[in-house]
Amino acid sequence: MRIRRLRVAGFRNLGSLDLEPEARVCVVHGANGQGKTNLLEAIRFASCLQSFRTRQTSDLVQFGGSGFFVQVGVEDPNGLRDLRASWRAGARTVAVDGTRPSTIHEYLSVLPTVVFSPADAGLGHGDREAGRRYVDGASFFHDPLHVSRIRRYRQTLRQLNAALRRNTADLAAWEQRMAETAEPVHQARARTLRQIAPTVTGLYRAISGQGEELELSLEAPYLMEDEKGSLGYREALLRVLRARRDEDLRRGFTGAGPHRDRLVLRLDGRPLERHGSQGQRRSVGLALKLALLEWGCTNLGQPPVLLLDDPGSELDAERLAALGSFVDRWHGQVWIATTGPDVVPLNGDRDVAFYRMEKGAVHAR
Amino acid sequence: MLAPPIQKVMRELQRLPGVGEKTATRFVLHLLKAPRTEVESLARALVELKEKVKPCSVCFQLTESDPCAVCASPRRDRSVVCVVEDQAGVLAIERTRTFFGLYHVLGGHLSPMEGVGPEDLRIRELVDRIGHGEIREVIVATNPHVEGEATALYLKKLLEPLGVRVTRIARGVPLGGDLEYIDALTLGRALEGRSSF
Repeated sequence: MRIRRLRVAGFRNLGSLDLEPEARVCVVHGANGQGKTNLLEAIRFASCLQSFRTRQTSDLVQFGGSGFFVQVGVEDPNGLRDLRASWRAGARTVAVDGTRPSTIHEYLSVLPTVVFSPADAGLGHGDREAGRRYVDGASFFHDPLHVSRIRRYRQTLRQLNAALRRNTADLAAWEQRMAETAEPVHQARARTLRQIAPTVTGLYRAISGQGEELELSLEAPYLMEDEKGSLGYREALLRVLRARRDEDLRRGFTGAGPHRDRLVLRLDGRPLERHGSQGQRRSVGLALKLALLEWGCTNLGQPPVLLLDDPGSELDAERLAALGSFVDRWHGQVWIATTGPDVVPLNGDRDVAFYRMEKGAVHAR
Repeated sequence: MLAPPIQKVMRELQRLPGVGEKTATRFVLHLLKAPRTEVESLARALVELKEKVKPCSVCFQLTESDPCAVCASPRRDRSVVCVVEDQAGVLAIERTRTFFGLYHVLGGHLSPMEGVGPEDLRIRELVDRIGHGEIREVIVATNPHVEGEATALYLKKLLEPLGVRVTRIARGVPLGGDLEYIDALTLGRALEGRSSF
């Protein structure tokens, strides 16, 4: 799928924009602070109603403004789709092809995107939250229902934590409900990771040029070692929740559940976060993201849009060259925000458009 | 600027669920145009509503007579009780015309976040009813969201040791529909909750 139209108003420092990008590769360049990342962020928000930089949607509103609006025209094999998202006075409104979608994943399925930004360095450095977000993003590409699984589970977790703080008589029911809603989340994550792993390791070899063996696994360190295999996940988690109830009551929240799942990366058997070099971690981070793109393409039947935010800050010349040749070979749309127009070396691809960003305004070149 | 009596009624109307300023204005203008008898009849009906409608002392659904028509009916099966969150649940089940047992209205669902625990629902009253010995099955028809499911689990744990059968309403695909038109969420959960036949 490709973005054929992009309209933005009131978003961060961006002025009122109306672009009609025609190229496969769109390079947005300019000095720091001009709004390159904001443009990618606006696309990402239209795609999944979340930013890759902040959890607070209110942060996205222009300074002194009261709301923002993003509209994206998406070309896919079925024709042109239209996504609109606006945010005003704390309330979000969305529309797909001009009408309000009946479920949120109907909206989220229209424009899948994959972001590679400096924040993704955390993936190779053992950032647990980033690891879970990665696996959830991949699970969503495989099965959009993953969103509602996670919602159900999070709401149960909030209720269980509230029950722990108040030590209520219904605590046991919440523990059981927690185990029931946690199991599909954990299982979907584990299944996704098993399936995506060969793609990640293949891309890692291509990017690093090294022969080390990269292994990925989803671990549940909160489960008791001897019970992991013999019991199903649900029963094992339920036992742990009961066993640690006194401790959880003291703390007022539970430390067991999919919110503590861990994406563990190993190179030749050694944990990357402790033994990997800076370069190895960056290569793994990039391999994970590009694998997500291919995985999305396989599962959705068409390539997600790739958003590369300032790859030059995170990658050295060798890895930028590997990224450039990936972008050249790739058939999906790619948006690149960089300081210079040639930071990512693109060879021979003529289907490239350059946009210069200055003080929140876009100048086509 | 609206006359103070208009403003007063508008303020009152806007306390109602789903009524904003526009709807309140429409109501007020309609009432001003309506004959005095109609307005008086509405006012009387409202006061009467408050005076006459009370929760049934047995099942807690809203009723004018106590016990309510369902609890008093000799044709109802007294061995089965359907547990619902609120009056809307009773109305929904009654519309099916396939349930001939009694009801028990909990008055909400468990929600530790909002400070609603078992003692805030009419659960003790349900246990008392079961204690009288007539009830053999309790059908838990709380809503199928996170809180409703937890409430159902809590009831199951609490009631089964009392020697009653505790069942939960099924969820799944609506009748008369093609699979391809059912939203993915409903169908996905129907698959998760599949049963042998």
